[in-house]
Amino acid sequence: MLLTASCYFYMVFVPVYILILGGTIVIDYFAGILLEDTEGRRRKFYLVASLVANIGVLAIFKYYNFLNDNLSQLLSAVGYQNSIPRLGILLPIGLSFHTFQAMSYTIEVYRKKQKAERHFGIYALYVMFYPQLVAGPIERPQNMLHQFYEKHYFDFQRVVDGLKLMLWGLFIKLVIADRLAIYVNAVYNNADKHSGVTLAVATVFFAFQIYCDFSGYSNIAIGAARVMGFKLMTNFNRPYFARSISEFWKRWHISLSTWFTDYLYIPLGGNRVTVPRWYFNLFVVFLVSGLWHGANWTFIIWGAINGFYLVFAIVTAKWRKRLTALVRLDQFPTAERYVQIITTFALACFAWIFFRANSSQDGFLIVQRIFQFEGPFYMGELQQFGYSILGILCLLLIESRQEYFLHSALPFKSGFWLKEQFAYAILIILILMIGVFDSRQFIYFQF
Amino acid sequence: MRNKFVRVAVFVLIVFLMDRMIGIVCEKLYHKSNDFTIHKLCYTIDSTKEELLVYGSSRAQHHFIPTIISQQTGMRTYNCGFGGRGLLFSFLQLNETLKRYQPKMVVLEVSPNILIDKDSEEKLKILLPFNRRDGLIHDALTKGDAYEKIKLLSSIYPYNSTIASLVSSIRRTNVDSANGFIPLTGTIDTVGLTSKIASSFETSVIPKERLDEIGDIVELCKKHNVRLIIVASPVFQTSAVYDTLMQQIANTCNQFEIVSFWDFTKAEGFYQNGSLFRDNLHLNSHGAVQFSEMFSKKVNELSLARVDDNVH
Repeated sequence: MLLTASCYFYMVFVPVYILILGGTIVIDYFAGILLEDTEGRRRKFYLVASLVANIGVLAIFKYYNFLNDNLSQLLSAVGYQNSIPRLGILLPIGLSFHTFQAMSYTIEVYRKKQKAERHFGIYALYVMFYPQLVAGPIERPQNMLHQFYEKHYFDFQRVVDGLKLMLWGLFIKLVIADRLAIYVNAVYNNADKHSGVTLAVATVFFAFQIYCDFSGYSNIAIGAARVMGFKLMTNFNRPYFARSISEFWKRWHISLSTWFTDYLYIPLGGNRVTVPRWYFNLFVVFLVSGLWHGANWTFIIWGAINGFYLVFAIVTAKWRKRLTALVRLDQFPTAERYVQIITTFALACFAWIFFRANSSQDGFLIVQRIFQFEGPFYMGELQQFGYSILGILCLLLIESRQEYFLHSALPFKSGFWLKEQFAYAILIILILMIGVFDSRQFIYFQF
Repeated sequence: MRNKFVRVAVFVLIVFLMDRMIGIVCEKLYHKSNDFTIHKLCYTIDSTKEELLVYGSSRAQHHFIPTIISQQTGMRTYNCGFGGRGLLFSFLQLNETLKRYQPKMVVLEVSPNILIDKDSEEKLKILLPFNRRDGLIHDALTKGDAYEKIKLLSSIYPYNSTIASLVSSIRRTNVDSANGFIPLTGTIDTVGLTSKIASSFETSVIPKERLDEIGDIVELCKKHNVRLIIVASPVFQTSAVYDTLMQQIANTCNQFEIVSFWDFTKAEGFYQNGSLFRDNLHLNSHGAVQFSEMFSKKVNELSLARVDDNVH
């Protein structure tokens, strides 16, 4: 039944794409069995065949036109014309997510850390489980497959907790992310017409927009799965409270960060290599991570900036420690923490410029404008702006309580039952009152 | 288990009561609001008593000056136009008005941009506070969106995103001194205009259901015995596609004998006269004054012709 529901969910978007997903599921299912049943060099062949099938689908649907366009530009620069046609195809929804989830299965079976799944329906459900099919979290077979065999009984508290998490996800998506999107889109879609201050504010807004959009979806997915008795991995852990970029990446899109750590960074040698190679590994991982997000130079630049941040942080670690001691910041732990949080947030915001910019040229223009500190400030409609600011403050207030007191994914916890219920009821009322209902999609669905 | 059931019931009750109470407050505030858009919408649906009513999108809202039309035609006029709204919106607005009284004349501004706008019906949501008023409004709002019916179970949802406007407009006064008209200032920037016009009209065919909406308004006016004039107001510059779309509108309007269709698209003195336009589709305040005078003259000619007909 779950599989049927998942198929229906996927087919709501572009029905025929179920055939592509089905094709890769069949390949990976048999690859898993063959990997388990075979020894020796043939195992590598089956693994490569499975990876080629998955990456091939990604390459055709996501990267073909990007590579072709860049080839055209390159050839035209040297006086040739590219005769390879562009493909007029739509990107299947959540392609990068379910492809990576499928790849993690075959890699784990190859590494003999996971038994091959012999039940086709269960394996198909592992790839297609609808709460996380289109935007993650990108699960691992060790965490998911056994759950499909377990009997799930009705547990009142678990269902209530799942619904609360879904409600919190809906709140931050509809009330905060989609409200911020109105201002961000107005500014970023006309970047050349706005001043540095306006672009800086829009960038900060976008930082919160993308967080609330994506973590909102993750909360809804995790909550929906929990209602049905499934436990999905945590995907966000209040990343804007991180004190360094490396901590930020341990808190942001955790399922993807750990995927890259397990299947790219460590196979490249991780940090158990020469120092220059270590830096190279870090940089490459973030470059690939950027490319994973989209076939556009903006994402590649975004990945490169994050890779640079991490390498720079390692290189300058000693100097920064000395500087902290020199200005005696280390004697004031709270102040030091705030400085670190704000610095990390500012660095993340700088990288987000390229993530959101419509083109890399726009991205560079925005950076240039921001550092010029010139021009008037565009506020847009005062009420929209007010809702946006209120939304951010509300988020920071609730998340700081979660971070420092509650230590929970749920936004409210109280010993007084009625007080807690009122808090959740107010969330529903606020969604109805100021939620934006005409936004069509989650940002990460496009990846 | 019983305890758990009670807990769920208490939570649902809290949400229900909060929703109802806040919904009632919003409703009261909404109908007394001095926010221009809300005030104008409530007025056009509940309170108009003028003899000549102008309907349409932003081109109606910015082109027809009621004070000039009233002075020159002798008919008290109100501009019911709303920016970005399509013909279905005008139909629903007019339908509510005609339940109350019969104006002497209804003017409908129709232009190709609004008839090919895919989102114009999405903008019907401004009518959410009136969803319980009429089955037609409710159906239009819930058509094509199953979730909308569920959302409309809430008393707050119809007032979604209006709360700040409702509260901030309490102290405002005299919000609608120009009888629904909003003047535009500035003159058109013609740099790259031809390519902008070309890119803004992607299709040269108006969907049949949009053209049918003209027929619905004609039928409504016929049923209530109200004179309907369909007007295409001036534009700065057209393109071949624009002209094709305009021809489709003209053909549709000319099917109805009782309708007068006045095409001012390329009116002399307006066409390519940059001093009268704010952008390609919108007249500035100077343009609106001249157009309102020109329109009033034509209305007077029509009235005289009718008098002559009656005499003969």
